[in-house]
This record gives sequence, C-alpha cells and structure tokens, in this order.
Amino acid sequence: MLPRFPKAQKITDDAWQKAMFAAMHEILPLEIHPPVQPIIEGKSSDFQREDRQIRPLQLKKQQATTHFDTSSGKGATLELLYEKARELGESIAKQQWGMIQAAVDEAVAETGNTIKIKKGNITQEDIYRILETTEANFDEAGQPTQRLVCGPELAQEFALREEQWRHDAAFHSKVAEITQRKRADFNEREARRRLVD
Amino acid sequence: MNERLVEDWLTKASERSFETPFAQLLLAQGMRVLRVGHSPHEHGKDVIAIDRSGKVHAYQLKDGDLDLNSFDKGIGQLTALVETQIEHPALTGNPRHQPWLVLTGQPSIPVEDRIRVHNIQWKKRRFSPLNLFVGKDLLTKFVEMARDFWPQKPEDSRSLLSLYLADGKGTLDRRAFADLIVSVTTAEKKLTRAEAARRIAAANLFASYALSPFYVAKNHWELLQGWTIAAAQIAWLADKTRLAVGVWRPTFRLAVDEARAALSALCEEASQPDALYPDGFELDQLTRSRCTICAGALGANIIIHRQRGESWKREGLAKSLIEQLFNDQRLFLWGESAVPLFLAQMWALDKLRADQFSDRILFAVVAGIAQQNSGLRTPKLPTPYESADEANAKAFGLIISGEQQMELQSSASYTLEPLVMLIARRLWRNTLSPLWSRISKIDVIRVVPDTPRDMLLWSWGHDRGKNQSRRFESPQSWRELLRMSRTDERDALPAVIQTDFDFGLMFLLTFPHRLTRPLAKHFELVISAL
Repeated sequence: MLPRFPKAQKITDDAWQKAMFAAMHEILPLEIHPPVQPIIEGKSSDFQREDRQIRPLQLKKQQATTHFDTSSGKGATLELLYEKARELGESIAKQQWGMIQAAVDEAVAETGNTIKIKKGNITQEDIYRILETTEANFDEAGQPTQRLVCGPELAQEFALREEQWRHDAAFHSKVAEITQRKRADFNEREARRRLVD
Repeated sequence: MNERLVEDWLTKASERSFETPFAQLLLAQGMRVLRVGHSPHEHGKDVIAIDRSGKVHAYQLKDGDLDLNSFDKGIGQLTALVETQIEHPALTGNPRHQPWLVLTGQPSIPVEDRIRVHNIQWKKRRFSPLNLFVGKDLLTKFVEMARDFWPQKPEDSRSLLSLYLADGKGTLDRRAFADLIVSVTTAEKKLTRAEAARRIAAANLFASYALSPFYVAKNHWELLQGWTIAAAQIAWLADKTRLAVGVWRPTFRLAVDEARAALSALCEEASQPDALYPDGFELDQLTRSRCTICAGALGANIIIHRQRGESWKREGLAKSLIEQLFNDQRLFLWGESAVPLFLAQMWALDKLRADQFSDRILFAVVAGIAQQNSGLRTPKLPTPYESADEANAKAFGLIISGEQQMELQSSASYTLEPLVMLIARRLWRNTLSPLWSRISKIDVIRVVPDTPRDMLLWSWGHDRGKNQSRRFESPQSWRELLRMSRTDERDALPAVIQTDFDFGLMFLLTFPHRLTRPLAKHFELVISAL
C-alpha cells in the first residue's frame, strides 16, 4: 500500500458530511421535515394511522451518487469537495422531498382534501378552504402548530395577499370564525384522550 | 494465532475467570458438574464433578505458576481438598473423591516433589492422592475443544481480537460480542444435534476469552451482560435444534451462574459505604446513571434470592439504598434502556414494603416517558437499543459539543405499552388518567418475534420479526386495558425465561429492547406470587 493519511482524510470526510447535510437542510429544512421513527429491527413493519387502520410500511431504498474524475492524476480542491458534497446533499434532499410530497398527495387524495389554487390569483375563498380542510392543532400555550409549506413564489403571493387583506374586517372575521370552530374541534379531540369505563 | 490467544488468555486468567471454562471442559468430557465457585464452605473444592463411571472428582483451581512458598501458604486448602468429605445434596453416603490441583501455569520441581511426599502420606491414611492438571494440558484441551469453531471470516476474527484486547474498564461491545457467540454457535449448513452440542460448549469458551478484560478490571455489570447474552444464545440454539435438556442445560446454567456471580459481585460492591459517589470528576448524569444501574442490580439480586426461598444477607441495606436513591432523585431515566432497572427496583420493594412506595417508581418512569416522548418537536428519550453510555454520549454530544440532530424523532416508545399494562394490573386508573392525554399521543412500538425463541437473540437485523407501531385508543376503555393486562400471553415467551427465573430477570436487564408486554406481565405475575 502506498502512503495514506487517515487523520487528515478524516477532517475532510467530516467537512464533507457537514457540507452535505447543510445542503440537504437548505432544501428540506429540519423544521419542516416530518418526525421519523427508525426501524431498527424487523423484516416487515406496519403502523397504525389516526383512523386506526393498520397499514404496511413500504420501504424503498433511495440513493444518490456523485462522481469525481481522477484521470488528471490530481486530487480535489477544497472548492470541489464542497461542490460535490453539496451536489449529493441536494440530490438526497430532492428525493426526500419527492417522497414526502407523494405521501402527502396520496393522503390528500384519499381524504378528498385537494385544493386547487390558481397561480397569481389566490382568493379569500382559497384561504377559507385551506383552513377548513386541514386539521388544526394547538400547543400548550394555545398557539396553532400547523405550518404552511410552499415554494417561494407562492409564499410571496401569500405575503402580498396578507398585506392587501390586512384591514379587511370581513375576511378577518371569517378567519376567526373558522379558527374558533377548529379550536373547538381540537378541544373535543383532546377531550377524548382519556380513560373511560 | 488461535492457540496463541488461548495461551495468552490462560496465562492471564484469574481463578474466577477460569472456573467456568474449566467446568465447561469437564462437561465436554462427559462429566456431570455439581458445583462451581468459591465459598467459605468449599473446603478447598472449587469445582465438584462426577465422571461417567460415577467417580467423584474435586478440583482446586490456582492461577499462574506454583512455587514452594505459595504451596506452603496454601497447604491448608490442599489438605482440606484431599482429606475433607464432599458435602453436596446430590451425593449420598460418604463417597471417596479424587482430588485435583489445577494450575493455569506450572508447578516448580520442588513443589512436584513435595506433592509426591504428601501423596505417600495420604495414601497411607487411605485418602486418594492429589493429582495435578497443569497449564500445558489445559491448553491442549481448550484448543481441542474449540478447534472447529474459531471464527472463520477475517472480520469475525478481528472482532474476537478486539473484544479480547478491549479496555475492561470500558463497556462491552454487546453487538460484537453477540455476533461472536452467534458465529460460534451457528453454521451455514444445517447442524446435527451432536455438532450443536459441541458448538454450545464452545460458546462458553469464547465468551470467557472475549470477556477476559472485564474479569481483569472486575467490571461486573459488563460481565453480567456478556454472560447473559451467551446464555441466551445457547438457549436459542438448543431450542432451534431441539437438543435434549441434558445436553444443553448444564452449559446454559454455567453461563447463567457466571452472570449471577457477576450480579452478586456488583451488588456487594454497590452496597459498600460511599460506593455510589462520583468516580472522580464526572458529570452528575453519569453518577446518577451508575446509581440507577446499581439500584436495578440490587433489586434483581433481592428478587432472585427471594425466588429461591432465601433472603440476601444485605437485603435490608439494599432496600434502604434503593429508597434513598429514589427519594434523593439520584436515579436517572437516561433512555428506555433504563426501564428494566427501574422495574427491578419496583418489584424488589413490592416484596419488602407493605405500602405503595414501589408504585411511585413505576409512575415516575411512565410520567417521564409520557412527558419526554409525547411532544411533537422535542428531543425523545433514546431507544432501548442504546446503552446508558451511548445515550449519555448522545446527550453530551448535543449539549456540550454542539452537535445537531440530523432528524426529528417521532413520538414513539418501545416500553410504554408494557408499563401501562403493569399500571392497569395494579389498578391505578386514577393515577394513569392525568397522563392519558400524553400517552395517547405516543406510538407504541412492538417488536414481535417470528417464534418466541427469537426473543433470545440480541439482534434480528432486518431478517427476522416484525416492527409494529400502534396507538392506544382515545378515549381508551379502562375495562379493555384491564382485559389486556390480565390476558395470559406467556405463550409468546421462550420456555427458558419461564423455567429459569434468575436467567429471565438478568435477561430483562441485559436485553431492554426485548421488554415486551408478555415479558412484563410474566414477571409481574411470578414476582407477586413469591
């Protein structure tokens, strides 16, 4: 074996890991990543949904690759290390996004909660429907816990509409009415979390 | 390399670490081992066995070489070995025995001569002469016994060496150790019963080699876990190959008894004054983790003695210690692998107190899991697959080293369901009610074996068993909980857990990831009947 430099290599490997995860978290931030339960053992897995149905867990292997051309006889530069790590991180995160989107689409289709919004033309009715069709939860301080995850364009449009409707009393009154109803639903659900005879 | 390892091990072996492999050697020669272990009543006989012809043999074990000075110091013990009668319930009458002095090293020439002269006298007085069994003979026998079972794959050989050369003051690499025992006891082709029996015997030898650093360091907790893993693997193979009880059980019991010896030694040390104070400069989480392990071990030791109809001599002290540790909040739920240790404390106090103090331990654990694991985005308790050391390392990584979690854990628990079953069996509905909102938000994870015996395996990987995620109902019928808690599920347990109580309890402490609903209910039932 020709000389190797494991200590120095470990530093670059660690830097690679950090850069890769940073890129992953840019595309799929940890804050919006759904919580996960690692399957440590078992040749098959299933889970119970909120509606108490038991469903098998479909395991699908995801993989991402990157290539480094060694034909020049030169090692990588630091810039290339970051570039390749980023490439890989982005690729993995995109796959994860795709997986999450597919699962959400499937759930939305099953529950009939699909809402179609015309790009550049979000209406107040759209907002009401979003609020109506989603399950609202609240934390111990009474603050809503659900988040709206969307692309930058849609986010910009939501921000614009929010500004436009800031002083629209009828809109705010309707939103408050829905939220109140959702809070009542939530309270009823929470009240069911108890032991009965 | 294999022979060199055995030779090196034999050179370093202490009397204690050498007992079980030696007894295993006798078993492999077709002898029936009646007793193994040091005690004030042994009268120089560390091991007692009967050979195929019914002749009784008594062995005194000594580590290292023997010079005349050491021989003279130990002559009282040797005289007792030769001259005193063997007392054992399995022996009737006044059986004549063959005394043996077993050395891991060599006797000096003057010692051999001294023994020759003593033997002349003993013969005249109608005692059987003392025979010698020395290091080089032992080496030949041990090498022969394991000849066909040395790890074949380079990675397995490396793993054995890593275990053998490990720092005995550290923690046992339980996965690597379990893999080693699996590699010794299994083969690619189907095993014949004869080969399974030989492999089972070899398992204890390899366990001794791999655990030897922990004998040197007197690291009792790691020894307890190692021998319990070895015993579990032996029982698994015996069940799988349907070996006759007489073939596997003596070997299995040797491993279990060695685990028990480690448990006793741990309890003796833990019950010394100030033993549970910090071990030098360390964070309190580590001190409290040590307290929790020791309190669990004390609890288990109390129950095991009681199950045998005895009372441990330090029972009162141990009871006070567990109570004090709980009252002073010196116990620490570092993760779900701590849960069996709390259960052992609870069951011990069940037997020693007439009030509901022990239930407070149970509630504290359930409340801790419900609090920590029900939050949507809060960090969760480490799984039962992670040891105290691993769980604390993970926590320190986040707090001290500024490491970040790479993913959010969902609200799930492996041990919550069995714990809820225990609360239900104890009819604590009103205490459970305030926790129910949180409990109902947690997925209960069940790991279900393909066959009950698979519970005995350290790891299934993704080749065996099912991983099920379930939820309690909301609202949850108390009556249904009661029904579930009272349903007999012992069919789901391996037979050996039901027949060998001491093994079962040490299995629970060592394999926290196998704490299932049937296992918790089984112990609750059995211990309540003691």
